[in-house]
Amino acid sequence: MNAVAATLRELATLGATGALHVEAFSGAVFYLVEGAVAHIDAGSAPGIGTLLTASGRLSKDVWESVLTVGAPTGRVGALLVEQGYLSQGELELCVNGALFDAAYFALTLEPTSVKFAEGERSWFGGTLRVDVERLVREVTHRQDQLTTVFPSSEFDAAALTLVTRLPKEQIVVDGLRWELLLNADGRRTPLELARMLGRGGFATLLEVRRLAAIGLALSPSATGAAARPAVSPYRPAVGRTKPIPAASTLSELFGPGDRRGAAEPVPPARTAASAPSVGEAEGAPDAEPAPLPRRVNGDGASGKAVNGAAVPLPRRGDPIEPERPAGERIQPLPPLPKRVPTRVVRPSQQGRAPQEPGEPAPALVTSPGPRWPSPPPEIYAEAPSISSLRRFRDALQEFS
Amino acid sequence: MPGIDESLQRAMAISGARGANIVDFTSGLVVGTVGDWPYGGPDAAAAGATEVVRAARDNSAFVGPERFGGAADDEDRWEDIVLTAQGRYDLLRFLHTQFDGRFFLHLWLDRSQSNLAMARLELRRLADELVLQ
Repeated sequence: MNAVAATLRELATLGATGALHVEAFSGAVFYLVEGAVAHIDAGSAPGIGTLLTASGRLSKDVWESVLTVGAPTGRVGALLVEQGYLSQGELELCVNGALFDAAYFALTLEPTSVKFAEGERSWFGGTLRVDVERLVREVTHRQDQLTTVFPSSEFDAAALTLVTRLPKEQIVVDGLRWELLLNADGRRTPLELARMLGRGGFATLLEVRRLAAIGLALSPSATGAAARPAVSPYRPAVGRTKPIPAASTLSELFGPGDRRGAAEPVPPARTAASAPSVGEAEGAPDAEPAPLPRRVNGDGASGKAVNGAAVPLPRRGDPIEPERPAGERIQPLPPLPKRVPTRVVRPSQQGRAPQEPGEPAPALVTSPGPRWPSPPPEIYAEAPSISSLRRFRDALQEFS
Repeated sequence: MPGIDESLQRAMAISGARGANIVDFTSGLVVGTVGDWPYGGPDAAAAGATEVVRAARDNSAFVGPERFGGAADDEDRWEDIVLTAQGRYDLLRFLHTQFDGRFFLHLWLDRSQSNLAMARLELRRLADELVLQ
């Protein structure tokens, strides 16, 4: 299939346990236990937290507190059941759906580099064990399915725009289709919609292609909206606060999709097609003026050539300490001297420091989604910088 | 509380049960399987059942199983699809999860040894316990 699948197969043969970090524009982490895949974090697919909170199954507070307590020990899944938030069946179904969904996006990445951290365990915990071959087979099957429904991938990464007149007498509208029809605004891509609605990424892509097949979706080439990145294009600006490798590792785990609030609107200025998309970097017009300085030009061409370690300005996938030799375990860093740890969150506080100064007011729609898990306390000290940077960025966007 | 595997085992305890699958019908993926699946194994059965579900879902004579959130008291919410043959019953029971998921439980039974009404009721109870309705 590709480099990622090949590496996974190799690790499966070795019966390896650890985390495979795939660095790409929107990176991913595979967690393996004895050669089987136990968990996948993919930046572009909605994570378990997004699925559970955006649907209203769990409140954000519950999710964050379970995350704070369970993530450092990798027991988030177990805690959700033990504390009665989910039934065992719900957990398994949800994890299963999310894992294969993430696999679809993680296995189709064009990685700039791939690293394996031996022994690293997932923050969620091993609810599942999925055979690598089965995963690869299912992803291939899903690709075929997309092609069968609608042969072109032009709608996958472009903002979804609908035609104004129904091309048929009637169509059947089910839950997902209804939500897509309601929320397609010509600005959000299918994956952004999926994260916002808490719907599966693949299911959303499939539904968008069905809409396209009916003739309900307006072709991106017709609307002039070329492929947009499936992840926030501002990420490099945030990532530029490097070097903070440990904090960046966490931001890697929980891509913008997971951290952004479900209700977060897309900033107006982001409608421009201005950065490479996940798989089709070449489709992005590089000349588009960027709202914030960021490394866009030439990414499409150089994406494979540059090594993660040599790139001065990180992209989505860079944050995993590029200097770290493969195989070495990720060590929590000592607190950075310059930062005031205003937001140290301890399990004893149920994941919520009272009146955190760095925390956006609940009314702010820009409030980040579920907080990233598994941090040693000193890493939380980085959170204000990232969230305040994001708010700063959004404010800049607002007025530019 | 039962997980997927235990639920499947319990489904097999229904009298006349020959095979049980839990299928994600987004793509026809087998989430869990137990028992005997003639004609191509559990994957083929899941793919076939998924097509049945999809065909019914896309038909405006029926309404979708997750029709607009699928409130538990919605009279139009799908419960199961039943297919009968001279020798067997196939029961597809939808699992309504509040989070985004498209799952059904597929149970097939030997007709001579089973009672369709009883099997449906037991399957319903089993599905409700699996996802806590």
